[in-house]
Amino acid sequence: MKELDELVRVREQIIPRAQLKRLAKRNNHAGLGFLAFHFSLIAGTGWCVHLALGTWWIVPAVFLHGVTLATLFAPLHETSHGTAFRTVWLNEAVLWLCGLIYIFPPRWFRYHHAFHHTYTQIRRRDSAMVLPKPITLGQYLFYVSAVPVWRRNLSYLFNHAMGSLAPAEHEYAPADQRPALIREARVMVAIYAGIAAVAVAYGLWAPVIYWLLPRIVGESYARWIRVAEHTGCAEGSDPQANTRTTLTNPFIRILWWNMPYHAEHHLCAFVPFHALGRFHEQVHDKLLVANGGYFKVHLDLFRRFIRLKHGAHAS
Amino acid sequence: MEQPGKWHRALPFADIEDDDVVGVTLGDQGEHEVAVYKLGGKCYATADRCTHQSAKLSDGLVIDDFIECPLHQGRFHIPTGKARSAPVSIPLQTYPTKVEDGVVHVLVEDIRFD
Repeated sequence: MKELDELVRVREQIIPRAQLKRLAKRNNHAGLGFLAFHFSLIAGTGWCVHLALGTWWIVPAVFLHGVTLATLFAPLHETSHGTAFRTVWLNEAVLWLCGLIYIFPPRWFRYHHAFHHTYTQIRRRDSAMVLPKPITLGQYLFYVSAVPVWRRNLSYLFNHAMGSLAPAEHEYAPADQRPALIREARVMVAIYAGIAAVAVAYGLWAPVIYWLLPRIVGESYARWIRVAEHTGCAEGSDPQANTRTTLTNPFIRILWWNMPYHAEHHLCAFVPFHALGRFHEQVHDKLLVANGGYFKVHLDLFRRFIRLKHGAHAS
Repeated sequence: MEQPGKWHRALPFADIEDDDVVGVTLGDQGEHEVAVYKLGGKCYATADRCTHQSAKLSDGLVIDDFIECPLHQGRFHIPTGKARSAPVSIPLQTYPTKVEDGVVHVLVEDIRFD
């Protein structure tokens, strides 16, 4: 594809291949470290939920726990690229585990996300385009509510488990992979059904309290973060304009496995998450970088793009 | 039995770094895009386009004896062309190679242009 070759030419003008090769070196210890930290956070916030049961503290506790569960999107994303770990089976195992907890078929996510990288910010082709302009306040709030994402993700899971891929989805995955995608969804649904059956049989509320409810609540936070990646950026295939890096504090960066370095990630997806900081240092002046954190990005979006309704101002 | 195709002169073997890949265009009309690899001192060649979405593999990364597509990180086993990890599933065409006088030659079947 000539467009892909052009993307590589643009990239080579920004950073030579020899430098990229050094950045792209893989290892297992970085991913294991981040994974241990992430699951420790999940255990910690889960413990907070347990301590808060029967009190009003349950509300912030469930939200916090939901944040740690929803940010499993970050290792799901990194492992879908195959870059989280050097060892392939380890990468695939973590991909599956995260997909199961996050509730998104992991193999399907890989194909769906690959399409997003090929057609980033190209209207009607980008599989993950978020809030294309013009943007109304209603559209923004609806997206951040996570309702459309849940609707989409659950329909993928259950439709695939029923053996059906929508015509639009055929473009994402090659025909020879569709049986595997259907099998994957059926295995996931069977696992969830098994958990539900055990919970009902023994009168257990734990799967709801410590997983489902916080998972649903926390997704809004994830959607809010993900708005910053491409919303308001130029449409088209120019990696220097269609994706935004958001500079934020180290805790958020670690929680998101360095995904806030999103422009760098789209410029060269084979640079693993643990090298994105160094990559940023080498190319930041050639990419779209937002200083001042996520609140500032959203404030800027409201100021420049988000309207009360089409043709009106939000203020 | 002689293999079908023609030996094409590709590039000096020394021009390929260890555990790396270089893309070349072969054939009278540049009709063959070939990725040439140096792995453990040995030479290999495959088609240069990923079977998933046609990104150039020579822009990708060699990891052990796999080539990783630069666009979506699907991996192929270089010596056999087998697809190793999603999103790639269709194997890569491989080509016999030989190094003569320090120059890599690749055997590809000629395409007829009528």
